[in-house]
Amino acid sequence: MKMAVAGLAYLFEFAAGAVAGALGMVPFLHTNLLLEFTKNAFAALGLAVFAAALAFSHSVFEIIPAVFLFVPSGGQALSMLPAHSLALKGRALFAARTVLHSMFYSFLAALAILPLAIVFLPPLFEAVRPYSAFLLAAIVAGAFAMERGKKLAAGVFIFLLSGFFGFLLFSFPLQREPLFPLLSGLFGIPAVMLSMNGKSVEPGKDEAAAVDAKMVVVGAVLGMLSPLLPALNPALLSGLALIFLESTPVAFLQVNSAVASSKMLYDFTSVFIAGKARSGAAVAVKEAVFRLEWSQFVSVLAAGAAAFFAALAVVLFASKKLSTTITALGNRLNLVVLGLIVAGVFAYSGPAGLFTAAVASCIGLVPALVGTRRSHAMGALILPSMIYSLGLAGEITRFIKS
Amino acid sequence: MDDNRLAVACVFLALAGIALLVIAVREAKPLAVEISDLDAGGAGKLVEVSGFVSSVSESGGNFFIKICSTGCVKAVVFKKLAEEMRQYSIDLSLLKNGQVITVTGTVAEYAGGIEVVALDRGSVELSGRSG
Repeated sequence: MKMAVAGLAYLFEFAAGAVAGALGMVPFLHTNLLLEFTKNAFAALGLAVFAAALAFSHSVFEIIPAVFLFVPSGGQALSMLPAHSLALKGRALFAARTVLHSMFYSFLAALAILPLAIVFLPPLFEAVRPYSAFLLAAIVAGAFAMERGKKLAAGVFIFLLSGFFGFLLFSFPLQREPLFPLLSGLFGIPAVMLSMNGKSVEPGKDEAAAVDAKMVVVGAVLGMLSPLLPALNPALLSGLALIFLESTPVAFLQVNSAVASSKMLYDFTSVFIAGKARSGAAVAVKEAVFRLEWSQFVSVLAAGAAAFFAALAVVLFASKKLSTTITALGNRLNLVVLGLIVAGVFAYSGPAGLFTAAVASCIGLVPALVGTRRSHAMGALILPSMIYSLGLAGEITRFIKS
Repeated sequence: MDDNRLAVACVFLALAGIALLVIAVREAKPLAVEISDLDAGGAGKLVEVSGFVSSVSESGGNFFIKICSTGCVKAVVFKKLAEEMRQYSIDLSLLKNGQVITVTGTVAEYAGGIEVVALDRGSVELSGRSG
């Protein structure tokens, strides 16, 4: 009864978060940005509930623009995201449904292994901490293992270039929040620019989703382990998994979506069981709740799960309609979206943010132009984490300032 | 312009941007932060913390200075830098509890705690005694 009353008390925060998550349909309107503009309206556990509902709901709604918009031209096939390669073959609706179904089953699998994770993750955090830089290096090396020759060299160069750029941005107080302009430049702006040469995508024929239990379980387990190390993202973990599993666009979609929904669950879980926040929404939860109690954990998780399933139901039910509407806007949206990103970066980070986004865009365009993977540009987050874990930040800072 | 030439142009523009950033970074002043605001999320950041010396210890030539104000944090000055400081600016072995101190350095997480690792020989400044 007490729980039910407490639940009702945060009904408004839950509903606000779940509805705000629908803004995931607007390209590049990231959860962190939405939280930045809305979090002052809530406090304490209410803010935690709002942040969780927003993050889970957003993760579902953002699938629509991710699949149906910003499809580059066929010439950039190697750097193309798997959903886009399916979209160009007239299977966009199939790609979206496969992602949504895989997310659904992975979330259930992630929930099923939650008791195990609560027992084993805290000691694992302690065990992994001294070796985190080496583990990150091993994962990155695994991602490079899929490249050969010039593409490998280009991948390593992009990783190091973006990594050094990220280190400069995160280590020195040149701008307040460099993450949004950095990621917009590395991924958002190049995606829009490349898709200007691409063609608009039709939803395609009405195919049922393809769900693979093996990919779902692998994704759920990788998502559970992802908070152990900083800067890990679903694309990197999925790439690693596919070294050992079947590597096709559909397999990538299945395992990547499975990692994404499980990671979301464990980003919040790790706040409560280890005090580690690995996403913007998890940071908001960590700052909002002063005492990390189990009742609060249950409230945050329940809000997130409810928002997730509600958003899934809406998007699955309306996927065909939503995809038709969004693709009807098609390439005409490109300039509008580009303008929105630039305006957003300026509003959020000022002229310094525009400079960051411009340099990051130059780096972000290179993978597509030379035909290597876009995810190498995640070096901007991974390399600084490795430097910090190895305790080398002081040496490098001293070298730069000397 | 073909894709390869455009890629080369992008790389040169990115390198030029990063070079400008390095110039800005060399001139950048560290961020003055409250000790209570330091956490593992700030690892790697160049900061400036101020407070009074609560304790000083030395081990193998490395100095560990506990600085307190809104909270307490350990500042670390490694042996080589401490010797340089002794030569050019300040002898850390003469630090006294209660002295007001400002340390510039990078935030690091060590053994579950947060510390500020002094950057160079100008990283430690003294300005009298507290209350």
